[in-house]
Amino acid sequence: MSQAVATATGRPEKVQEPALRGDPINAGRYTSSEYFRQEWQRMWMRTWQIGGVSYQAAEPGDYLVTELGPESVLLVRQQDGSMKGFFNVCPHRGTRVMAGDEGSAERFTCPYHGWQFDHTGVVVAAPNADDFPQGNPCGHLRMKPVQVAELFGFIWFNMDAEAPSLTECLGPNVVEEIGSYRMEKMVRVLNMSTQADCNWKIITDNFNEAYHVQVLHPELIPYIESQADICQFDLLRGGHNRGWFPAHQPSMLYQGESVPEPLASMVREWDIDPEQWQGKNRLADIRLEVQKQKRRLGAARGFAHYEHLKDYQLTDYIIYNLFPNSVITVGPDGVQLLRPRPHETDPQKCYFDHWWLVPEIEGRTMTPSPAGGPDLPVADAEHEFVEYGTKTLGTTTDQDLSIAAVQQKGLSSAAMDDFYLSHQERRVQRFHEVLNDYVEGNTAARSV
Amino acid sequence: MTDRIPAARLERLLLAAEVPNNGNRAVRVGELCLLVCNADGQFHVVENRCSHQKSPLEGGRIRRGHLSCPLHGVRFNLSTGEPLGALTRVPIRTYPVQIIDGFVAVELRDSGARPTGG
Repeated sequence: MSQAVATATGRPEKVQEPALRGDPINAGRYTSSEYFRQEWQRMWMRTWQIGGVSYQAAEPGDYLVTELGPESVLLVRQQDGSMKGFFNVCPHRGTRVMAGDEGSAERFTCPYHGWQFDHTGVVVAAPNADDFPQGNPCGHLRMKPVQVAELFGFIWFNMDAEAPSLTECLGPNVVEEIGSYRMEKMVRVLNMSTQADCNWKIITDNFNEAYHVQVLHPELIPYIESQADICQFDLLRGGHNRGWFPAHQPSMLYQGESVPEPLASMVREWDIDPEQWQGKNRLADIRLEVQKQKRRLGAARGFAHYEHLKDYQLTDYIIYNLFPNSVITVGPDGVQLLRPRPHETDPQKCYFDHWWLVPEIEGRTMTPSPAGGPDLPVADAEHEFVEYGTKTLGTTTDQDLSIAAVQQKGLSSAAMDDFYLSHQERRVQRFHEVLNDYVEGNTAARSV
Repeated sequence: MTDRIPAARLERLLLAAEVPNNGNRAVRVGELCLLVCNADGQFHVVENRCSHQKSPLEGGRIRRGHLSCPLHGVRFNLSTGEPLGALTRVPIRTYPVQIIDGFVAVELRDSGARPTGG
């Protein structure tokens, strides 16, 4: 069990990290169909996944369908307001029952032979129901249930009926910290997906280290720190981890003396004159000034959610990598989900989702887009599938995906054996050790 | 041989106020089965028949300008009639809408409605 070992008000609490074993991370796990199959059965079928946003299914009978690897899951709002979920498979002969991504239905009707299911997944009508020698399926057969939970404004599911609850899996600190952003009051203004030519873990690995940021994302240097000796990375129990990136100040890699763009524009919004913050020493304190101004002016300007945030949360970005693939980046004015999902069959391909959720602030109808390009309307966005390369998925996302395919090719080479990781990449090491625990069936170790 | 183009007429279907926000109402005009939809205050008229298994679309949920079929869940873009998802690629017909004296109206010709989509 992790314990806090240091208390600092200006950053997340540092935790005691689990010891690493130094398991080798060989390339086969990114390329082999046999590993892909084991990973599916032993890990994906047992871990919690985000299925959608709670408000997508607000009323009884509202449903959404979510895809994960070869499976499809149907999530349904019940009369009492709770959610239930099922494998989206007709128990008659296996047809997927619902094909749309979301909607509302009194009953779910299989398109093949017309079996009908109620909101609890039980068969309630079937043509020629008395023609089954083994018994009428009505009232007996059902779509196989999955575990469902709602947290952070998301609907989650776990295909393992015996798995520990979502809050138990995440632990109280993660639940409280991410919960402080009140995501259940946010609206998803960006909802994009693409297919990438890499194993899903290449994307996860990328979010599990910031070592690449100085090389791949130099445009962040003016307003976000990513140097490991200033940032804080924590391995959390259960295979999750957290990365803290102080922002609203230039990185120590920044060479200039004046406040660079886009930081200058960002601080002007909070009535701070960038001219007054020139010089290395002054620049180092501008983040604290932004915190002060947001605290002073935020509520009056409609940023009601600031009252639940600690000072550092008013300026900084914190990435939560929730095992295995839910990457939630929280910032003062919105939350991103950057998520790889496994391909149905091919270990060398995956899907990638990019969501951006923002709080509704009175008088603000538009919000800056993390995907670059024009501002986005503050309104629930329709899902958009983008063929990779035909449209931007966001500057940093495009940069990351540009590497993913060439890394996949390199990992398929006979030249590649184990990784050679730095200390600041220890979240990558830990992720693979917990994955090993799942694949090898070491249930005691993986929750440490 | 020349085809005579039938005269167009504006058919008032019902009062806009009769269709609640993000709701819909079916209307019959002769042989035509139409569905009047109110998507966040924007009115659309489409054929009331899913292109997947021909089931009526009335009662389908409307969100973000899309109507979902109550039977199997195919979603249609109300502006273009285009479907989402894997069950069908056939669009439903859409009709240009005018609001006249508070009525939702579409332009029909004697031989039937003039579709703009599908």
